[in-house]
Amino acid sequence: MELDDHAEELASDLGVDRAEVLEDLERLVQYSVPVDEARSSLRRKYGGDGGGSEPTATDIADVTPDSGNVTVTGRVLTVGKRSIRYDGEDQVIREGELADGTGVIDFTAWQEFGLAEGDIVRAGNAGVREWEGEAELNLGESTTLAFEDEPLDVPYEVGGDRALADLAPGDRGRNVDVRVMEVESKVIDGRDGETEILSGVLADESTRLPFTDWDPHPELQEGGSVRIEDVYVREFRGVPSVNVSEFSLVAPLDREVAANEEARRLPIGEAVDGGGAFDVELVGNVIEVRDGSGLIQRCPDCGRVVQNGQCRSHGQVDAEDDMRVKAILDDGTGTATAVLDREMTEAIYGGTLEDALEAARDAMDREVVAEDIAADLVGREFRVRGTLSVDEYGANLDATAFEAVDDDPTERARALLQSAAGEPGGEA
Amino acid sequence: MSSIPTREVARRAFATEFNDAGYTFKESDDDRAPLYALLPTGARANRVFVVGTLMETEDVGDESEYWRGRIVDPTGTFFTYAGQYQPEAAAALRELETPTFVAIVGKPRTYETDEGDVRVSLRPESITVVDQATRDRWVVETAERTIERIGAFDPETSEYAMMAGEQYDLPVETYRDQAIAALESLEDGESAEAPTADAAD
Repeated sequence: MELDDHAEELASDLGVDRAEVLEDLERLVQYSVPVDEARSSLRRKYGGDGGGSEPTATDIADVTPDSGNVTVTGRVLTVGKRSIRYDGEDQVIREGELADGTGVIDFTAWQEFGLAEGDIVRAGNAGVREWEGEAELNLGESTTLAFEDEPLDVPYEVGGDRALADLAPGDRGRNVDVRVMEVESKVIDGRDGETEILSGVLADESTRLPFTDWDPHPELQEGGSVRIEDVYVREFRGVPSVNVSEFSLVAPLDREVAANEEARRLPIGEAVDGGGAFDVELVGNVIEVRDGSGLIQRCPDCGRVVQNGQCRSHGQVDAEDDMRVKAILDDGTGTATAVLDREMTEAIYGGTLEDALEAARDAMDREVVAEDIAADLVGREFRVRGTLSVDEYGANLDATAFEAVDDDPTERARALLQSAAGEPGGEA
Repeated sequence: MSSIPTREVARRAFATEFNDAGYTFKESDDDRAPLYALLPTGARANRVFVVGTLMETEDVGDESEYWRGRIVDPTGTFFTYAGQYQPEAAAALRELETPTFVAIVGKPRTYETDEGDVRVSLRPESITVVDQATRDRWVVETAERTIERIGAFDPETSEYAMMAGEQYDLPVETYRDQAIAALESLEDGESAEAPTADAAD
């Protein structure tokens, strides 16, 4: 076989320019490198595979982070566009999911292959990398991508339409039909200086989620029902957040999307293990009122809680009085700290901030306020609604509503007896 | 993520199961590693939450105050002890009129009697007065958690169920029957009637 033929074969396998391969081959041969060795060397250079031959076709279910380079054939389930900054350069990438009969894998395409939902493609020599413990395909310049005509049935839904409750961090190329519940314009100090963005809350029949629009779309108006195509989902403090970008299409709907106003009720253990949740309802007993509850002082500049008038960022400040409660809520499956704002705290205390300050002056001890609150809360059962974040500060529920549980225990006992009697080994 | 600070959940268990949880263990050699009592239904308990009727309090200390409280639930009696290192709980036991409904958050502790029996008691972190509805809801919730634990009791898959099989020779069905009986006592409207306290002392 002539060098030319070798170059042709390599270029086709590796999906790189033939002339470039030929040039490399010639140089190696000039340096007395045997042809076979030269071919392996170029495969390593362009393919990163290290092996001597083109990767054989692999089932998607068998692709692991250690697979090296693979060749897979699958159907594009979803595809979304995103702009990333890599080595100081903005680059538009496509991300989505590819499936065959055995499984689904995420992919990132670093160049424009013209992928569309439903396409059946053979990706030759696709790189595999590990992302958050899972294998992911990298389609780049060394990948040969061919569109196939053979139909391929996959047991997965093609297309990115999803209910909000089904979105998870890491999802790309999703389409949602939603109602805009809240929206506000903000100026942030982004990577290109001051940038205007929108943030707020979206809702559909399934749930509500926060969103950020990095390229403000005027169609996102409070109360409006819209279809947003090509969003991606990121995690922010343990909560999935919908990201709308310059590539997203926002179109008004001629119907009103029903918005779920109910918070999801979850056992505390499940909510915490899930890594956080937007707008949930947790029910449990307050088993402790933590330090830093009752009368507190905040920095007038940054709002942080300060000790002895000393702010971590601003030094000695003229601290402002405030009230809050940090209550440990526990239902026997898990535990989280419910953080209640001044309004809720005043309602529990049964007095205003001024009343609390007066009580503290009379007792010559600010702790009396927290003690009073603890006496009212500890041991009792409460229903708390809010957003749960789980991070290095622990599991915290930023409460929007806090109320004592007043269901009838007899009803609960009856329901439980019925379900227990239905189980195997249940009451005869 | 190991950087997330975790707090031990407060287990719900009825008095009979709690009093059977005489085996304690640690899961690391660290001096500050949490101490767990092994519940016979196959869970580890570093902390428990109890609501019941405080029946009697007594200062059983010699030189300094050491208060003992007896708290009953539909299945039996919890004993709690508070001394100088639990000043708030000790003050509560000193001052509370009995009988009254109380909620106690505490840690299981064991001691061995001269006869070699292991007794389990509750070292309180807090004792607060609550109303009867809170007590009744605790009974329901504790029954629910107990039944859940028994449902998941499988020595093949649960480390603590296996440990319970090794350490105790106690059929878990007993605790299920007691949980059911506790629920029935609420349904029959007997919730206000406290059962006779155990003779165990």
